[in-house]
Amino acid sequence: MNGSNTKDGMIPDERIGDAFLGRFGKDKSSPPIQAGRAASVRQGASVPGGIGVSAVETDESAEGRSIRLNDSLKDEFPLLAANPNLVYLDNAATTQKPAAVLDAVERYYRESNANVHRSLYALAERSTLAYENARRTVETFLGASSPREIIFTRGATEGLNFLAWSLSELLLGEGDIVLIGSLEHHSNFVPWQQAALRKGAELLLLPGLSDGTLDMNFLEAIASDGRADRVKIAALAHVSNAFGTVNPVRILSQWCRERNIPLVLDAAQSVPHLPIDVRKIGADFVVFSGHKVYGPMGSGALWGREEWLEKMPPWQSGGEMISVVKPEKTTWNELPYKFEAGTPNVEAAVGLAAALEWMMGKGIEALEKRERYLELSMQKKLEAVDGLTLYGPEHPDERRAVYSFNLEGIHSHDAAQYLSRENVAVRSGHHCAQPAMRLMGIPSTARASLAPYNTLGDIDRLIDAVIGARKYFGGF
Amino acid sequence: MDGTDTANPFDELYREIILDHYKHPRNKADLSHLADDAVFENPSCGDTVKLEVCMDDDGLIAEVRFDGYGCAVSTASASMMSERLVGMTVREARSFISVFLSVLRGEKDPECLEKWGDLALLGGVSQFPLRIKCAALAWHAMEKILPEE
Repeated sequence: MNGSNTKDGMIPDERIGDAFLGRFGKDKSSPPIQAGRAASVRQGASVPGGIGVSAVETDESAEGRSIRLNDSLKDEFPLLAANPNLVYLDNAATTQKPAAVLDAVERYYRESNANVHRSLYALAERSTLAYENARRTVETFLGASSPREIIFTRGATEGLNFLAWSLSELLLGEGDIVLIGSLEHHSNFVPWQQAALRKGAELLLLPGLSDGTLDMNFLEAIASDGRADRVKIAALAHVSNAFGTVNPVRILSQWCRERNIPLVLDAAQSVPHLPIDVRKIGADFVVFSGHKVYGPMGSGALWGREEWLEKMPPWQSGGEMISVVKPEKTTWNELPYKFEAGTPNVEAAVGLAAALEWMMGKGIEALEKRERYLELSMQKKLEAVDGLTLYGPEHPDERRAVYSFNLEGIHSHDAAQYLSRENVAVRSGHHCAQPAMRLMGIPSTARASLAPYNTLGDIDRLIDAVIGARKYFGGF
Repeated sequence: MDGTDTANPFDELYREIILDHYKHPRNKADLSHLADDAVFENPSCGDTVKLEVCMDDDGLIAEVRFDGYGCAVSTASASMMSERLVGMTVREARSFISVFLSVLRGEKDPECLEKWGDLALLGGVSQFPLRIKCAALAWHAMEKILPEE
């Protein structure tokens, strides 16, 4: 069995993957792929929440951790472990859940279930503690400076709808502009469009280019023609769910900062793949979905700058979000409760926290590193398939985890259906980004998207199936 | 889930005749002379179809032509429909369409399509809930554009 004697940034040529997976056991003897500057290597160091993955710690620092490419993270995901033949490459739609998350949700109901923030008995305290600890975990994960800035949602869609409503109430009037990207998921498009319609404002799109990137020169153009003065809110996806484009957030955030325009960052597709530090990224709001980072469906959170959140009106009203209720007037609870009306989804918060702890236990950078190898291999191999058009940025550094493609003369539905026959799960369609598809002049694509539990073997299976689909539907 | 079943439903969906209609669609024509609002779209996948129906002097469907972009299932379905409806009255065509759509929705047994030739094979689509819309697109469009009885 060949060790993967890879250096940083190199793809090992030999096939590493299925042969090493779960049921076949792991090759403990092969040397690790190392993250960061490698120093002394300790084999088999235990990782919090880790089952069966030997991480390698190079030193005591956070970045000195690495997950070997031929270790199977799939062992930790019961659905994947139970279906060793399944190649799951629809991670941009949702990820599978590690046992740590499933256990945390079940444990919450078995041991701590009670309504939160209300009663004084011990069980209610335990439930409240579980919920607030989950908030602390999200705060740590995002690098926020206070739990007051973390609001639980049922996902990015709810977070964006809340922000579109509340910010437009606060800031938007007739003739104002909301500036968004043109590659947005419908969830970061339609809420702003509707807010603009309600307020008599205008929705302005940062133009897209044919490689799935944005034309940032547009910012200068609207600064010189005066339209910039009318921009009151900006919103952008960090990573495009349709093409994997990593958008240049810093350029927009700096532009917004100079004008005191709040910037909403839809991080649904970046949080699973990139380390996020809200204090550094320059946005005023960061929104994400829990289910795309190994957490439960219906979980999610957003971070907002306290100075904005304080000023914004509540979106939903009812229990918990109030301070004093009188027939003629109600005052609001303090942050973050002002924005969390009603009994929250504690199960989702606890599960999300377990998922983020799982990621932090593995090491965000170690996961990213592992995924990076997969990404480079995926792009190289897809580009080598005859008759395959890969959409999105050419340079791998401008792209994360998402690979949208079409086979010449073959509809994406047919390709995806063939892949399904080969037990390779990909998405096909417009990926909830019709404007982005129109921009490319295509109705739909097949989309394969990675998570760190994927293997080089998964990619080979995808490529084999894609070639099979091309043969099946036949050169036309 | 591991694809170990021997009878793979994939082969039910992509029968040879369906692929033949896809690769060699019957009555597919350039209908760019029709207005844009004549386009019927399946918004979930971006497939489109345009239809043109010519009636003869006796009130029978003389010719059906279609244009558009779609997957194998939606293209084959439009192609088969364009052959099948010829010679019918509007009333017969409407009733035929309604039966076919019921089969797709799983409300009627696919067996009732057996005497309809190639079309019977499309009944297999009912096993693929996410593909029913593909097969139904041209038929829904036809329901909309057929003249009043």
